[in-house]
Amino acid sequence: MGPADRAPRDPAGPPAPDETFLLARARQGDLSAFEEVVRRYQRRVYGTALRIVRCHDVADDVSQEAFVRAWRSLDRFDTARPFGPWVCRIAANLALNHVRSPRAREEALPEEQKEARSEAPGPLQALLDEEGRRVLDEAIGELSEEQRAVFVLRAFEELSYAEIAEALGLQPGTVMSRLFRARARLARTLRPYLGLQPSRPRGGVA
Amino acid sequence: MSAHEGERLSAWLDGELAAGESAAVEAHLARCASCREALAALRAVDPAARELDARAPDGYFRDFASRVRRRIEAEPPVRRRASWRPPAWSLAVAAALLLAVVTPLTWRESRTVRPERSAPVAPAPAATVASAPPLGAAASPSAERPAEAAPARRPRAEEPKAPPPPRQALMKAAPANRAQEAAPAATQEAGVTEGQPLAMQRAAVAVPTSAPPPPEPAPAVAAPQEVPRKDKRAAASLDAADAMTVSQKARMAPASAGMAGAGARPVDSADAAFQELDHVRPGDIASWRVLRERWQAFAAAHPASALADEARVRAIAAGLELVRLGAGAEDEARFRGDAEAYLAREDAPQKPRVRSLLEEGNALR
Repeated sequence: MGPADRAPRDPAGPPAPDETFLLARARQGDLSAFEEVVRRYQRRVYGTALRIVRCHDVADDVSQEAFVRAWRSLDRFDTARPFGPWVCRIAANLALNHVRSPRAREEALPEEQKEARSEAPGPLQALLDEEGRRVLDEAIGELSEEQRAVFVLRAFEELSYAEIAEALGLQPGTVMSRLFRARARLARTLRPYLGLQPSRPRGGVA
Repeated sequence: MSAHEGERLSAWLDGELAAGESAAVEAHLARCASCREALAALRAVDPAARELDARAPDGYFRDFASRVRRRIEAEPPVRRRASWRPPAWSLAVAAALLLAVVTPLTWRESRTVRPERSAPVAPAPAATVASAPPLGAAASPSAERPAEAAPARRPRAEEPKAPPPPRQALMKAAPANRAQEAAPAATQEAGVTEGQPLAMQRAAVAVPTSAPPPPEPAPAVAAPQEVPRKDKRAAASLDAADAMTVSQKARMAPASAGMAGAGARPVDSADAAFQELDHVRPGDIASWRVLRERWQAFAAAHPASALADEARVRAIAAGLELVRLGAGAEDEARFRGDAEAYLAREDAPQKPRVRSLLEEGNALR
């Protein structure tokens, strides 16, 4: 995901319509305005879904459905607030409900549809080399779905614990606990790649 | 020295601790090298994870928005609760007028009109202003607003090429939607049970509110059976949940328009009960206890439903929340008892999840 995903701008063209305006139009039934909003958030929403379900086909369905539900619930959305976190919460809830379903458990994840690793680390110094990214990706896949959903909403969407709790139907304390357990597990995996010593057994940190 | 910090380190990183707790963590960090080191590792996780791209197949996003649009157009029209937003003063005037003049009429109407998805009832001014497209309509409301629609079609980075004709795009890129269009036949062909998990996953998704959450749970939305399925063999029993998949959307969709209950038609009792429970957000110990009992009652009442297993696990999860809230020894024993009873069941499909809940509970001791 790049900055362009969140606020696409065509420097040569007219200024992009204001999001509040688009959402107000959408709320009045203007599907074209809503399509424009979808274009602005599609990568982000897809990313949230994919990181939780780890399968393109399901992420495709979940992310489309998240927008459909956002459309249907627009009258309950305060257009003065950011649309992105809201629709991502919808997507995360759909994604988690998918992975918790008996059907999803029966399906093995196709190997090639695991979360793709970036090829070029970008202008900033990458924290991890390719091997580190592969290992981290695998470790994220091994988290429990419930831990992964909480982790994705925090690490990628930067939602507050209260927002995550509301989205997933948990106590904030549960969010805190699951997030810690997810991070502790990933941290253990990452240590060698971050130049840290392997963790020693210690009380308190799982 | 006090025990090492665990959860609070991670919460401290997120700025989620109360001032007093935060100070305690900082004091501990100042004198504990081990926790400082653990903190450094925890701190690295999120930025490292953000280096992983969630990449879609090439060209995937080119017509994503138009596929979403198709999907919206294929659904029953949305009934907006408050889509017409006049200035505040006019709202007050209108409200007064409505109360004085229209209320008796509306009252009468509301008792005689039964909402149908094919004949949306829009008693508000929204009927004329906010026109969601009728089911299957080819023309969208935006067609009447070319001026606003235009900027949306401006070429942009994400859309290097003009999107293919919508119909073609739909057929090519979203087989799922195709299935939806031919819903009953297609689903039967593929085995009705294919949608079975969707019955749960889709029927039970809370749409979060953007503002502080409303007192009532967000309305449930049942959704179409669209996820492309790879394994067509596994046909489970045709129970209430299964039966829900094909027609659930049609039956439940009106509720998704933010009109909880207003437009919903009767649904399978298991589906409706599940959805209702899934949207409960307890605020205290007493209501978590109620939720736990209700999940167990659900499982007992719908033993044949595939949702029963999920309900059993939800009851255990509610028990875990009670343990976390410090509800007491009785609730703790109950939580363990429920979890162990589940693990002792022979074909319980979610044992790993329950073990993980039990582990979480043990960590709270």
